Amino acid sequence: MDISTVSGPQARSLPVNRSPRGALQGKKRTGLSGFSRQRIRTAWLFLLPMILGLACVAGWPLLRTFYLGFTDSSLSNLDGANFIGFENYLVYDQGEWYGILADSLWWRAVGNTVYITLLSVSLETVLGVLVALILHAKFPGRGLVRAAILIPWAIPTVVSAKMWGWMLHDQYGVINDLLMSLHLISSPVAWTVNPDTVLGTIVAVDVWKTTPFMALLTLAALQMLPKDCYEAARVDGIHPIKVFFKVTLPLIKPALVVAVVFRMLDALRIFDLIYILTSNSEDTMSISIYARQQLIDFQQVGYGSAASTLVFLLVFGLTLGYIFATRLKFDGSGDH
Amino acid sequence: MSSIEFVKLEKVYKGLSDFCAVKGVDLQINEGEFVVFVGPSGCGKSTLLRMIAGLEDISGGELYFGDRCVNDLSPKERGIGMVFQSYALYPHMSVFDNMAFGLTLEKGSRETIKEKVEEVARILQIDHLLDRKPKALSGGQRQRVAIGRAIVRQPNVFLFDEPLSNLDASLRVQMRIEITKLHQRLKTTSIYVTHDQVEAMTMADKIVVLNQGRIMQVGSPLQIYNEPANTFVAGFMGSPTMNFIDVEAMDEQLSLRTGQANRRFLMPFRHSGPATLGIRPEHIELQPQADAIPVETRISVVEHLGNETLLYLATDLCEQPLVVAVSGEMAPEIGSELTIYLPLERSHLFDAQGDAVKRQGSASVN
Amino acid sequence: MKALKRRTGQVLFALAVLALLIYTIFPFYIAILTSLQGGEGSFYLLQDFDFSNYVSVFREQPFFLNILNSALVSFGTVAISLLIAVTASYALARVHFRGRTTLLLTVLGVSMFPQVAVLSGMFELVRLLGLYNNLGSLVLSYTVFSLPFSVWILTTFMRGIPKDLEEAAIVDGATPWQIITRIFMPVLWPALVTTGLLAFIGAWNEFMFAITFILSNEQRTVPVAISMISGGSQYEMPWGPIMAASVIVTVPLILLVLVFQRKIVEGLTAGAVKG
Repeated sequence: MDISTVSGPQARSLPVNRSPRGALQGKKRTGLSGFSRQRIRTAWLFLLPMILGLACVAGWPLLRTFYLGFTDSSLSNLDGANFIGFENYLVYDQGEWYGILADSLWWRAVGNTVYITLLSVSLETVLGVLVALILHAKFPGRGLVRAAILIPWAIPTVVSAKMWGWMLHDQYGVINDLLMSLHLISSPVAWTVNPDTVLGTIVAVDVWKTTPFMALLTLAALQMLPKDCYEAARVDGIHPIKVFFKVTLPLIKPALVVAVVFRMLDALRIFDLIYILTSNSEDTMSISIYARQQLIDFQQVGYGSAASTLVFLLVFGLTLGYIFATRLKFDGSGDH
Repeated sequence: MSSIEFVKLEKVYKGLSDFCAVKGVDLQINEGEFVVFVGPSGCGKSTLLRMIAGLEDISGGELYFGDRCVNDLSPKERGIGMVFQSYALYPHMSVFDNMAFGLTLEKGSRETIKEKVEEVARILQIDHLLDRKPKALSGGQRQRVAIGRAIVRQPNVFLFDEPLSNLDASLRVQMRIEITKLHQRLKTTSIYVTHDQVEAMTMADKIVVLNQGRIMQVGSPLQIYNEPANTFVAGFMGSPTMNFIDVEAMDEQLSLRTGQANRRFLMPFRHSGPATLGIRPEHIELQPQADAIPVETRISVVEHLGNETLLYLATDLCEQPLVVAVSGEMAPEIGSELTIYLPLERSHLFDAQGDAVKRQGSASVN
Repeated sequence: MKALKRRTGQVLFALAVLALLIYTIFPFYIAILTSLQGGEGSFYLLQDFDFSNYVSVFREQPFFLNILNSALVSFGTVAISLLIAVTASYALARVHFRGRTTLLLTVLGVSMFPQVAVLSGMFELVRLLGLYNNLGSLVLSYTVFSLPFSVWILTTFMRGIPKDLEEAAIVDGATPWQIITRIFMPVLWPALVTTGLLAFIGAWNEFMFAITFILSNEQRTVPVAISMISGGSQYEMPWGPIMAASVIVTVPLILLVLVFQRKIVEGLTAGAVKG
């Protein structure tokens, strides 16, 4: 192949003798003017603080976490750590398996986290869509209701955990009192202690706190829908429920998928709620709680870092898997 | 003020497949000229304008302001003033601040800035609006502010990117006249991009017709109208569009199919081979003329425009109906027969490539 | 018949709205009720106005200081992330350069980090910088987590500014910095408010870093302070003061939400739906 057909505008640049002026300025053009190059230089300058910040305070700690996961360092002895390979993860010693991957508590935490995530995200998606449909209708005081449902989202998780912890109190809690006066239960239930109810309780509180987020994102998607579809459907006399499943749902699906990704990421790293509501109970331990407990409470920085690495891989892997499964496109370019 | 010269100017958009928006454009714009770039959308006229402005990189070739190559200069260093299609006024600034923005960046003294802005505002008759925000202005007023912002810095070159396309029809005519008057007063080299041929014809000292990234023709409005260089220019400029008839040319003779027989006519062109005869609707006559080809037609559609009436005529000459512009008083009947006369001395001949064949002497019907 | 059907529909709808309101607001009602009751009282009705719980919150621990700390950390985080995000998002939204999409996706990736994944590395960094048990450690870690979404949201908003407006400024001779400060920031101030609000709420509510990097009562932020309020044993939680403290931190957030709900929703949507 002829080289000149491969290279871009340079190959097409002036033969020196085409015009007297071209002869004076026989220099090569790279396709970018000095002004554009200047602009791109400025752009990188503008990006520098962010890149440096993220690299030093997010990238570097992440890499250190990865590295520490391969050492036996402890909180009291951060510097004098030895490299021990994969021993934190899995090691076979004298007929026994040790390491995180052999720790039944870790697997329990994984199970709890996945269970909570699946249940919580699917419940709040359904509820969120319902709430969004309510808020999409026009009624007096809609703005106030919309503000009201934002409040659970805005308050600290610690506060919501405390509030629900109090309401779910086995002796003085409102919930037990209510359910008993409605004769739904015969004796008070220790919601946050009883292994049978505690995971469900956590999911319920999480759903209460995060449904607003789903509802608002869905509402925004609903408000962007073209009106003529609905008018056409109404003219054709199609039942509203059928319209919802055949028209609305497919149209808001892309927005829902994105909202679910955001919520999934949040739910997979759940920490505050469980930490406050049930403290260190093994029944409810999430992977984040497991990792932090090893890291800070037990001061095993190496082992805890290995667990943190696994948390990272798990969250990343599950999210990527979901993105792939739904063929979600995160398009970064978006030029007009 | 300065003259502008384009030397083999090119613009390539890199992508999956490189797209060449401007292909080797050579052009000379004289000092003080009002030049209009006109062409269909996607012809590269806006790209070319933005390359002059410095908002678009030049992929190849050179651009000169006077003797200075400005390829690598920023818009500011080039000393241009630009009026955008959307006006692009700064929404948070008053009219005064909008116009003064460029001057304040140059760190001029407050008094001189005030003086300059007020002077320009007076010229544009917007001096009573200086305290308003853009959103409190009408479309025409915004347009004036945009023009004021461009001229207050006394640029070497004015660039207009379809500035009137967002205005309604009557305002457009008014602003057109005002821009022309402004140019006569300031005598600044101006380049004006439009897809509207009326704007091009009425405002330009020099029209540049562009198509698919190439210059089709450069000339004064009347040159473009009277001597279109090719079928593209002939078809693009003029309303209604020029009629085109496929013919066979043999030296100075034209072979045309009328009725059952091929007839031959002497023509004022010297050309052999297949060709296209072009004639504008307003030049076709209804009365017998010397040197005109009589054609039997039937009226298929009549459009009354008031001042004139357009007749769409079915003929044996070509598949498309011939369009004829006649006086508005005429009330022809659809389906009736009509004999028209194509005056050869007002017609154009284009060769098989679509390029115009040079006219010579006068012609007479055989 | 038709009118009846419509009437029933309206009633059902009103009930649904009511249920929704009760569902969201009931816990706050209970919290306020509990915080205002000294001893045993009714579960559901406010019987007396007893502010002793509120007094005890401020007497038993440096709660005023905790609030101040939270405010300091939150405002610091907002200021720093906005400052960095504004220039970065201008570059990402308005300048074509190679690697732009990759960079944007990387930034988005950072916002996906589980906090615990950087905890040990961050701990090291904080100790290295001498910020352990110092509010600076929180500003540092919160900024890293609020920066990505600030950049993401602002980039979305900046893309919405018409190209002509920026080019007019370029023709007027404005440098990129002048374009940002004199044109974009004034035009985009609602977006800045939105982004700042989200960053503020995030920082105000954060718990894991706050409980890990801060040791002393005087340096704690509000969420940790609330989690630390305890009685004699695990079974004797001082619920009154806890609810009082909860109400105190929630009130400013409720005010923010009521005043800025439209802006908050805009920000959330810009970050997710359009992204």
